[in-house]
Amino acid sequence: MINEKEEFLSYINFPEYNSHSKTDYGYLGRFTLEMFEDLTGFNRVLTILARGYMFDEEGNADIARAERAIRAWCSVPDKKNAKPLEDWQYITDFRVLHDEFPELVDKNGKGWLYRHIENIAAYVKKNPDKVSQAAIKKTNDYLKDFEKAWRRKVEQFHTTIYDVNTINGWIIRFDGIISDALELGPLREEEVEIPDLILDKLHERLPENCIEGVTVLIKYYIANRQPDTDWVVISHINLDGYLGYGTFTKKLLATIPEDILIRSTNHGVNRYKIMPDFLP
Amino acid sequence: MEKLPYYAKMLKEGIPKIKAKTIPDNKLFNFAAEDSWKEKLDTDILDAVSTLISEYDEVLRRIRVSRADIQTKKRYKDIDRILFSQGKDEDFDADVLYAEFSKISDEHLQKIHEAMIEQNWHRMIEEDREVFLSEWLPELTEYFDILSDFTFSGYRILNDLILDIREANSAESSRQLYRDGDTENMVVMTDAYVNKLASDSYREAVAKKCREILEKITKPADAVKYAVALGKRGFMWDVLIDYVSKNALKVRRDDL
Repeated sequence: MINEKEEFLSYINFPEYNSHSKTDYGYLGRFTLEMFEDLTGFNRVLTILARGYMFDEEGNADIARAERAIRAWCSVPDKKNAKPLEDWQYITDFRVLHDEFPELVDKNGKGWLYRHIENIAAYVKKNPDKVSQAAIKKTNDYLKDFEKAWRRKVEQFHTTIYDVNTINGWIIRFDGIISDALELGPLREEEVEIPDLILDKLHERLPENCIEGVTVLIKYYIANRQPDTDWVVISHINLDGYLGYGTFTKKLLATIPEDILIRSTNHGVNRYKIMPDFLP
Repeated sequence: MEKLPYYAKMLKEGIPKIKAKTIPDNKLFNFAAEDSWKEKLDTDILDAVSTLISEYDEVLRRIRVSRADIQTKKRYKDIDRILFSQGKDEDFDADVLYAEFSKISDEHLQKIHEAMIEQNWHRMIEEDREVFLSEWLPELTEYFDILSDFTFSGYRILNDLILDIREANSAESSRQLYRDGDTENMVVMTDAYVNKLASDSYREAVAKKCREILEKITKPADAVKYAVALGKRGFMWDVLIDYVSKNALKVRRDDL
């Protein structure tokens, strides 16, 4: 969440498919079961990917390369008996990009996300004693549903933001991802440190299970604060993926006193302010 | 809460549609017993009734459109969400932008939209955005900061505004009851709606006037046949309800 370069790498390298306990979701990487189930939270993922492939060391933007990279990552193999696409249909199988991005799409059109989900389903099936019941239930036979649902999503990704027939809202579009990536610029990898004094104060005030989440929020706040507002927006679903558990955003966050942080939510967007006493 | 529309969509998709069964004319109407009944109808009258029914349907359609709430500002939420994300919602309201943009002519809005697409507005660098806005919206300098802030997909604000205002404009023109080239029958029926008593329903007012016109073409008892022959049973119920039973066969529902 804070080191974006590291986050980028976690979206293009497969994690170690392993778990030390039933509540250890390390094998999902920076994803959550919820993300796979509802196909949400991909706005941030795709923007990070686009920025990673768009900018070179000097910060020069290669827009076309980023456009190809996000398509490769999203690739869903065509059905075996699929008819050739008509001109008006949108491509969802990007195997042609395999030579340029072998890490993102294989020669059969399986994109990174597709293979990651395939790997997760295989891991869960093979290790039912090492994973949660929820994971078993949700990944059983999931690949087929995912393939269908994700293919439909990727078709939608092709539409333009100027289309008169759509109301923008939460819809992801390749075009929008690229614009957002241009606006955000190259990935950042600075480390944010929180002074011991503040950490001690947090330990005094909060139960142990809140410390990690609040620490991440403070660091994210420092790294993403804009000059003209005190609010910082955070995607809870991606934060869940980073922390590896959803209890912080779903339960614990609401218990944090307002003299530490203030939250506000509207239209599904979550933003928060950290109080000055807890900032370096 | 934000998932409710999604659940509603899934619910809709999950429920099979009821298919209405059309019962053949000869099971419902006494005049339709013979297969060749339609051939015995007067073609001039048939044409006149057919035209009148189309006119009647068009008048009702316009009235319905004019009475329906216009669903404008469909993209308001998107703008509001962007302003919220940018932390500007506390000192700025999207309504102000709507008010400003509704003063701009539809032709000009269309041209701006075309220019946005042509010049790739959503990928413009910061300096070019101001130039673009100064060229197309010179009177709105005080909002340039809002319109050219592309953080949190802010490039969508200008697009959302233009599309929403243009939709409202076209809804406004589709709400006109009288239009050039309307036939005399249409004008008379529309007048009946416009001048109706508050206690009358719009359907009754138009149907009453339509019946007067219809009676000049043919007798109402015969008109039922023409309406049925044209496949317009709905019109029959609206305009000729008092003559339906005279032509109907007595059948049990289970026999249909």
